[in-house]
Amino acid sequence: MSSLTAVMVVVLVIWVGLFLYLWRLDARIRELAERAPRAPGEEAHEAPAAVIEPRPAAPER
Amino acid sequence: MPLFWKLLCGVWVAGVIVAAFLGVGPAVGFRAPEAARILFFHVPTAWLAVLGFVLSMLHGIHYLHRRQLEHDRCSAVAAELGFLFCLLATVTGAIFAHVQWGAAWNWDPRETSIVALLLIYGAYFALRSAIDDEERRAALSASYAILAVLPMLFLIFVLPRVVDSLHPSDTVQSGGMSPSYRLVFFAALFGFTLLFVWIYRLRVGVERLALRREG
Repeated sequence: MSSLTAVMVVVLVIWVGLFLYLWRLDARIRELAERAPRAPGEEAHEAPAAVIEPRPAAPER
Repeated sequence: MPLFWKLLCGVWVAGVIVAAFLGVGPAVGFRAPEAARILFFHVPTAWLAVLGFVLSMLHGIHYLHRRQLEHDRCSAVAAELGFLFCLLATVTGAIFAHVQWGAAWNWDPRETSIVALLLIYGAYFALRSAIDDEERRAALSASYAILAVLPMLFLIFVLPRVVDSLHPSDTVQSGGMSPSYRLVFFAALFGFTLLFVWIYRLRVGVERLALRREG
């Protein structure tokens, strides 16, 4: 392996380590944000509930 | 940050690293042609330092306009990241200066400018840590962040162009870069900007959690 390739491998290993660290940190922060109490005025954006009802049958002619 | 952008950041930066070492040949006109590849990492870190400081100023303006503490925290986070990337630019620049110019530090205008910049933003953090009252700290920090951008722009973009410098100032614009170097260079700028956005959003997320806990 040439020295250039060796340096590239070292830089790639550092990048993969940093990326995995950021990924785990991201997941942890999202988890904490979901568990943390919301501040006053900060409402959760929930999807409106939808109810599917069968359409009443048309009167027979 | 959405999943797609995170994955894109990971793959893109990995691709830039491979391309920087295997995709381009040794640079022509350098004392250490192989070491010139560090420019694919040095210039983006300097760009992200500028981005961080400008973002800090914008949040400072927002804070003074709306008086929301979240903007103060965002401004501090952006300044922190700007400072971090400024340090990285200094270190990578010193490594390259060592092989290219024979000494890690030459008091070149850009090197002197970056030291001044580190001192200016070091003082910003000293200011923040010296004031206990949150509203007062936020107002003063916002004003400082706005004012600090003016010397930052002068030191980065004006001063090195008006005095003699070891640094080339218009390599990209004057066509001094081969097409393959230019491609990897702009890809590196994009990839590192994605990384900046990701780290910035993570830090802002932490600050929002802290604000919720305090509130």
